[in-house]
Amino acid sequence: MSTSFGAQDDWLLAKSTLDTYIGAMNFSFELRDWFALAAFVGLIAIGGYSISTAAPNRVKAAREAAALDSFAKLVTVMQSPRCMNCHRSDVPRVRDDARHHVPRVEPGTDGSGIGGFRCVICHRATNNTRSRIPGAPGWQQAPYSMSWDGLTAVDICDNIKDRTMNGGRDLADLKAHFEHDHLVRWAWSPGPNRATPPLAYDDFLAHVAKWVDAGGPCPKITPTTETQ
Amino acid sequence: MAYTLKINGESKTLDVDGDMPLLWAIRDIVGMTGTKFGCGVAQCGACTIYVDGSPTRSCQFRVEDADGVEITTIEGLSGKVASTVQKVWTEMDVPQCGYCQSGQVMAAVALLTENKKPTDSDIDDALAGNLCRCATYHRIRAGIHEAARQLEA
Repeated sequence: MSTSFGAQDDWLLAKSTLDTYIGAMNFSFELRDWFALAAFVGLIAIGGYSISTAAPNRVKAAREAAALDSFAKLVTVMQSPRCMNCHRSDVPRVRDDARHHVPRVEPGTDGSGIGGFRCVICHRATNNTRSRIPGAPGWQQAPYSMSWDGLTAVDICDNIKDRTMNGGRDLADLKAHFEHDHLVRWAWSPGPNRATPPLAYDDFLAHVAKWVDAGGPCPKITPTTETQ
Repeated sequence: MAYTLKINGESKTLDVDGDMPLLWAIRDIVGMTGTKFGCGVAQCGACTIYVDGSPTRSCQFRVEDADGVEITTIEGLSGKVASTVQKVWTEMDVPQCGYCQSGQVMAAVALLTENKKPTDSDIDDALAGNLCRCATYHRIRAGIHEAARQLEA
């Protein structure tokens, strides 16, 4: 007997071995076996699909959680005196303790004053270093539909996303508002004796981007985030 | 630095600091003293002028920002509404000491130009920033109502 096998010999040996195993299993396919096989293949398919979708869902959930965390920080800015003093349902307030504006002013229907007594009478394009009267281009009170006084963070989120209330802005417009609006930017250079918002402006914009990129999710309950 | 301002339709060239409040330039450099200094911090309205037709506190308006704008002071106030208000002011003896009255008249004319028939509330709201140390507010309000009536007639 030869002790060395060629390729033909290898194949014959393997085939013989396989036949032996299959024969030993007494393998005969009946209808129930076909059902079992179909179920097995189905389970494999479902499992595969679950594996393929679970990872993105986890990523999406993490992204939304991060976005909600960003919104919790954003709302601390929106509720700071620099924003809240003018996003009001009555008349504008001043200073960090939200005292009434003197002289008494009425914002009127467009938020910029009434009957010849308009914000620009005193509020010019820049802060007045002598009188300390604040100024920025387009000085005015926010429209009444954008009033935030008395609102929770949940309500504020709903308000700023509601295009019937926010001046027709979508999320990209909101981002642009935060990035470019003179009055928003003024909040970080309000002049002496006025606190700036609790986030640095760059951090604020980073959180805006994160929130907007995640689709602007709103919290279900008012978040509790320490002011930074 | 030299700035050319257009005041009551006339060009005036002033060599002043651009940061100078327009009120100072109008009164001390140009010499038009009808516009009054009251508080200097936009609380009283005595310094009210018009910039491009809109009331403005001249104590808060810098000379360098006045380039290319139309400035109107009490001396240059004209038109039917203005002449009616000035006439009524005289007839009804509205002023007492008169110090605040140039600002009051500027505000009253601006109100009547925008609102032909203002209510008491409209007047109170529109002139809330014009203080009168003699408290002639009741006569100012009556004067505005009378001017509105005469303008409507």
